[in-house]
Amino acid sequence: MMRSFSRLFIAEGLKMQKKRLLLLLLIGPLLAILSSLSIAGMSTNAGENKWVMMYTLSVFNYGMIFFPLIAGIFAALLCRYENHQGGWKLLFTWPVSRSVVYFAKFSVLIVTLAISQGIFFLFSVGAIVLRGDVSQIEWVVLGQSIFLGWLAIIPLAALQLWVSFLFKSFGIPLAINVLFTIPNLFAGNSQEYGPWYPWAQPALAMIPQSQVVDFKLAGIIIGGFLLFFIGGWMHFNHRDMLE
Amino acid sequence: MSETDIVVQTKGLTRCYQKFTAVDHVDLTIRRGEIYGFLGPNGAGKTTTIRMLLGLIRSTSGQVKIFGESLEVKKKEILRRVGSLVESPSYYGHLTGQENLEIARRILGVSPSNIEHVLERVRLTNVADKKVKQYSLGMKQRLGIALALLGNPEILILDEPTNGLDPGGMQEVRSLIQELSKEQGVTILVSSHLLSEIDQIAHRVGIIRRGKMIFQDRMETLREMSRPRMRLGVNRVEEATRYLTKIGWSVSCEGEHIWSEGLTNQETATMVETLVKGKFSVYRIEEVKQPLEEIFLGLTGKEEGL
Repeated sequence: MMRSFSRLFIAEGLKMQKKRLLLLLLIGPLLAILSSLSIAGMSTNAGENKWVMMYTLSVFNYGMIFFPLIAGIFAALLCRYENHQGGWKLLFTWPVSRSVVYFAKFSVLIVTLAISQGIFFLFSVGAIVLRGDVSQIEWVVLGQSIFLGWLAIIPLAALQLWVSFLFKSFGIPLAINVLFTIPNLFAGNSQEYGPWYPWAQPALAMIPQSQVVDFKLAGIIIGGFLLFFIGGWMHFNHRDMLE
Repeated sequence: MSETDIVVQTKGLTRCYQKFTAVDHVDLTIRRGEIYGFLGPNGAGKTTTIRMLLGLIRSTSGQVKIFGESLEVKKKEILRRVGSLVESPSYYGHLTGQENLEIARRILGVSPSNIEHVLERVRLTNVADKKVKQYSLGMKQRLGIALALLGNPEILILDEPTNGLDPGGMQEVRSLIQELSKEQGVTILVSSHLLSEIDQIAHRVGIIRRGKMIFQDRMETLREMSRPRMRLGVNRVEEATRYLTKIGWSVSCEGEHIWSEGLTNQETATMVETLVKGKFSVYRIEEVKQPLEEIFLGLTGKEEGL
């Protein structure tokens, strides 16, 4: 089980066009930070917590828009070759269980999203350094924000992987993702509905705060993860391969 | 024939799509070391059957046993010993042939030397470093076969492996199949909608039509159905038939002619002599050979055409 998992995980890595993907991972955090830098540049009266304001602005750009989009794009990319060139039947006629194929793809996806978080972290610190506020940074708060954002995107990642497996076309899962990312700007600002919306969860989890755990949000995220992960997995295991 | 000689066996294998029965109680038997030709018009249920043999789709009822084990129970162990190419070849177009094989090799967990070996086998060594999307259809098909061979399979399942190939490519795939069978003793299932494709290479054939297996036997048995028949034109044809039958000849009367099968030259002469002595006029004697293709079409139904 573990051996076939690691083999498949490596195989997924071999399939990727790494340079292009890295570029894709860099764009989102970069744009998010540049735009927050330009906005934050206008106000100077934030006082002590200048880094928090600046970082929160970035989180809204990145967490509400780019991070969910990246999750959708990578989920679609992970199924793209299989959807297009009959790769599913190739994979499934090899002596590996479908579950292991699913776990490997899912793992590659969440590792990629962790890399995206790492890049966002580096860029954020870089921007704060640029503004000369580096001494103010509360590293625990920042680290927690990055980590919780990663956890909070996992349900969406599972959902997008499922959607990408469901549709043969590369464009449909992307379109769905974009379509549901737009209302984020409204749902994300709603105290009541925001936590229930998978596209808004990463940004909500990333807003820097001293309060350690938001139990309501955590519960919804865990529930959402179980629903989408198990749903996608079961569907993956039982689907007839007709293409 | 012992049980261990049978490597693939299905019993009552059935697959329904809503009301349409794509595969209807198919009992398929493949013996170790043989080339099994799986024939039928397009849409007869060949690919559906093959997909069920590989566990790509579920059966509605019936069972599949490979190497004497149930596919449902021992799927992984069975698939380790089976190589396959289902319909159009699957590949990662943005990668080279070599990289495609490397991915497969890692998943299968076989030695890197297998890659060189299979590349040579399908004669792709000199284009191994080219991206697969630049390959011709024939080269893609051969890469598909290379992928199927990578794990040193005991059974090779090839679904329409010559589809879309030019005559040269078809010939190449056919000789490859024969080589693998002769030199490595691989059991091969090869499907086609054209009899001529597997006529020359198959030891046994199964013919499927509208989801039902309508013929499964040795290739020779199918060929015997196309043995030449003798057609005699005589006067008073019905009376002549009765006359011959009465003294022990095996003949039949169809239309204006007397028909007989498997006559030697001497027997033909004797039959004519008998007829002449019986005061019948013999107008003409012809040998009529029914082409194998017509037998196949007769079995599968012409209207479903090729």
